[in-house]
Amino acid sequence: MLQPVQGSEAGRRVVSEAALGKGPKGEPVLLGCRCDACANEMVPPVVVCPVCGGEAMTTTVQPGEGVLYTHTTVHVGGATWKRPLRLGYVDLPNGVRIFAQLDGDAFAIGDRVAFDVSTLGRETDGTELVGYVFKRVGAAR
Amino acid sequence: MSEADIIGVGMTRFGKYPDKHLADIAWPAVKQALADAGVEPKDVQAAYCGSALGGMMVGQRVLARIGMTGIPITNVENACSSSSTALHQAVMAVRAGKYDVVLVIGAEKLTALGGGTLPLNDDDWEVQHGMVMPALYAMRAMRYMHDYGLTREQLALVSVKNRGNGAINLDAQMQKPVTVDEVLASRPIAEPFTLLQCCPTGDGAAAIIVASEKAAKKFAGKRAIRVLASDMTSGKFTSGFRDMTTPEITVRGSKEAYEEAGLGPEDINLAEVHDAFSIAELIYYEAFGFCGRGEAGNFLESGATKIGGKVAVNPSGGLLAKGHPVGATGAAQVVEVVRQLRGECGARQVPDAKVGLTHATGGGIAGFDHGACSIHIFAR
Repeated sequence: MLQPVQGSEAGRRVVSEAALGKGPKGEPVLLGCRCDACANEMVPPVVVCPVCGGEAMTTTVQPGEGVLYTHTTVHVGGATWKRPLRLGYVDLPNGVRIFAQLDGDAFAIGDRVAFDVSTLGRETDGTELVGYVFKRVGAAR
Repeated sequence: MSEADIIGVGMTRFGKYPDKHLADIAWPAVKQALADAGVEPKDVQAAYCGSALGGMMVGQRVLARIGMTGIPITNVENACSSSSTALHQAVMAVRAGKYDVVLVIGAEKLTALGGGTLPLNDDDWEVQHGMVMPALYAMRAMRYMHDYGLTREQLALVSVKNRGNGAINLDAQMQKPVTVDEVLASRPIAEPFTLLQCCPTGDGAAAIIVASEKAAKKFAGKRAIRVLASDMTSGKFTSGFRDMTTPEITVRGSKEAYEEAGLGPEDINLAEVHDAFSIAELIYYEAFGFCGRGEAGNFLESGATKIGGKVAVNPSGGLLAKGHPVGATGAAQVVEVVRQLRGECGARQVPDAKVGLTHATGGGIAGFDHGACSIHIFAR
């Protein structure tokens, strides 16, 4: 049975907690869920299906690699995030699109990107914000 | 069932009024609309008020200033579509025969929030991970540029056109024309957007008097503007892949609105569309069928959407120049279209304007193109 990571503690808050689990070797994995009724899959795991309202949801491990659908670098918004703040949508091979912060300097649409867990920023009181990110692993195929 | 007509409009110039209460920003717009319609406060049977961030009972707070309480007042929150949704409610009530004269208000005071990007709900997964509205539109723009070869200069041209229109609209917040070079040289906000490709934040209000055919004849005569379509819909959740270069909710809404009006894109002389960021206006040209998919950049460059072009888009200056006090925007779009259809717009008058549409859409929620969209079509 997959369990979400309980990573938040004093001085550290895991913003993606609901979507982070541990793999067989203790490595972080990205969790989503599949609706037993309509078969739609999504990130993070939820208790009721936003597509059909079904309540039988099965937690699933998401593919660790995807393709960057679009991205931007943001100069406004919350002061807590690490700068420059790069954001994007990643298309996973199972048909799920996930919004994520991107870790790295240069991105292009179509890049192959991989899941990782990293520091996203800091609260004003110094609390470290941790969550999933995607890193560039190769150019478009 | 009655038809619904617009018989009066008014607005408080969009701008920054940090020292005024929201109610004091809004009541002059209501009085202006009443005077424009030639109706007395006692003639108004009900009011619908749209505001996204104005707090509780904005309608009562506004109408309490001017002795118009004791009637049914319904407050509507639907993000950027708040006052266009309020208009939709008013039109439905008039068409149903419930009322003959109804007031619609849109009112917002964004300076009360201290500036910056629009506050989104932090119970949203994407917001928790850094989403802000400029980023959402910017990612649409990046993909559109990738797919269709739209250039940065074409993108900037949206702001140039709309700032030019705003410069001849006394109700616009931004009244200085800008050049492509100035747009591109302004400070970066979210790639590919620079500051001048983002709507300003501000305050403002607009008011509309909706009347039944019978009441319109009595008060407005030939000045009445007919509501041909009043459409309102919500976004559809999807967790999977979707094409971010075409706005699902507006494509669906425009189809419904055209069907209700019995018209098509070729019949529209002017359109006030939701240009919160430069890319949005281009995407909406295509969603409304003014041009084909991927053609928006060239369509803009051809001058087709200028005042005097095939279809004048955002002759008021749009959100980019007129401003975007969120909940007031939809009602203010109607103010512009009604004035254009009556031929009252002077230097920015759209020649021979017979049919116009308004389009307000918004709400950043994970899994949606947008949360809400309201489209109206009007004719003289």
